Amino acid sequence: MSIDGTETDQQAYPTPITRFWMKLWPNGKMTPQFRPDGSEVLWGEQNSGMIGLKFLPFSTEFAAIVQEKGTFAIPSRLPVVEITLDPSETVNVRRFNARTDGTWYHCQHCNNCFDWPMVPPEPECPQCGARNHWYCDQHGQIDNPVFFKRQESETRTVTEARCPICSEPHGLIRSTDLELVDRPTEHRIKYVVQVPDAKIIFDESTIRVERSCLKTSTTSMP
Amino acid sequence: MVATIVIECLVGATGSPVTITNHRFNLGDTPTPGTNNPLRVPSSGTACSWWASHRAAFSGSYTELTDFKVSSSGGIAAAWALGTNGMVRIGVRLSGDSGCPDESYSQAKGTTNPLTGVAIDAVDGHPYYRDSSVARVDNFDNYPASNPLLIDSGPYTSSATGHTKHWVLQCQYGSDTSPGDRATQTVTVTWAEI
Repeated sequence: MSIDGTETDQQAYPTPITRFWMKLWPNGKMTPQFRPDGSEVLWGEQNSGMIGLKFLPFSTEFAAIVQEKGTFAIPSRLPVVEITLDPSETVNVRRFNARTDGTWYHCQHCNNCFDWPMVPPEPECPQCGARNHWYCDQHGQIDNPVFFKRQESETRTVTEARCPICSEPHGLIRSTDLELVDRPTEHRIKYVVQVPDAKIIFDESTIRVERSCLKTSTTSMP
Repeated sequence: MVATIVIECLVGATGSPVTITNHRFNLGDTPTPGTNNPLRVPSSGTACSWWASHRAAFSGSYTELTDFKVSSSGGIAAAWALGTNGMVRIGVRLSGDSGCPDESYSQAKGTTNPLTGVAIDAVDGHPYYRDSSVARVDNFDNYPASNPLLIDSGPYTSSATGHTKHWVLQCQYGSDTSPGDRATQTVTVTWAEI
């Protein structure tokens, strides 16, 4: 989001996933989210009757097969999350997705992209030090422009950057060494598995178990 | 494949969707104005951009999509130095989903004298949010990641291709806002999927 940024229409990336689920049944059979050919099995309406659930990372080879079918599977060495269940229990599984869009600055000199949270006072490329400057077509770079508020109407003023050297009011041009551009869409994923007496929440770095019988939650790291 | 989500901006009289990853607030009915229709600082008080209607569009395969929410960095007004009473505003319903259904879409608009967008909650503002008995317009900074705003609880099922209700944003800025470069900002959309 921007009030002063460069905009481009972009198609979004598909939502990436880092693990796939596997339902474990009392008869020893398993139902994985993805078949060996990479096609997907939807979760469906059956939320009970299982003896367990696994959430497995994608191997490099399997991720490639799944990707060919259109799912953006990310290979990793994330730990397997295994949850034992009683077949009489009902389990509620959700994958929470967070998609973040916005802007960042692109340096035309060194191709670096960076955030500028208002510190330092002006955007400055942390890699090469490039900044935007004001230019006068007669006096070149101007480091101390005059910001003149011109009364456009009774209710409006327009702020103009003017050259402090020119005797006649003379507008300045802003360089585009640093430009606001779209930043790549960022995706984050968190799984939440709800069973009768506990909620298991996990992502790429943390596995947290919340026990409904306790007022405070317990935490375990993989 | 799992669900694919894109963000769309609705424009025009009937709300034609345009896929976006960014929106530049301006005095026009477009997310990509370039350098046209820039915001003009008022001599006194505040002024507004034209409002922006955004939604999430989904496709692909899934069993159920629910709980679409939006959140901000929580510090837009300060980072953008929008001046006295400056903020990015968002339409909120007093109960239920805060998103606006398709049938209540309202095209963004503004006035030339004074040169400003019409405030979402003005008398001639957005019909879905201007009635204070059922809605209000809030500071988007009040909805950081720890307290996202529920836009559409769903559910959407059976791998249907569709879209959520839309949320309505607007930039309000004071007469004491200063010109110049602006800090980078992001908006996050979250949803639950199985």
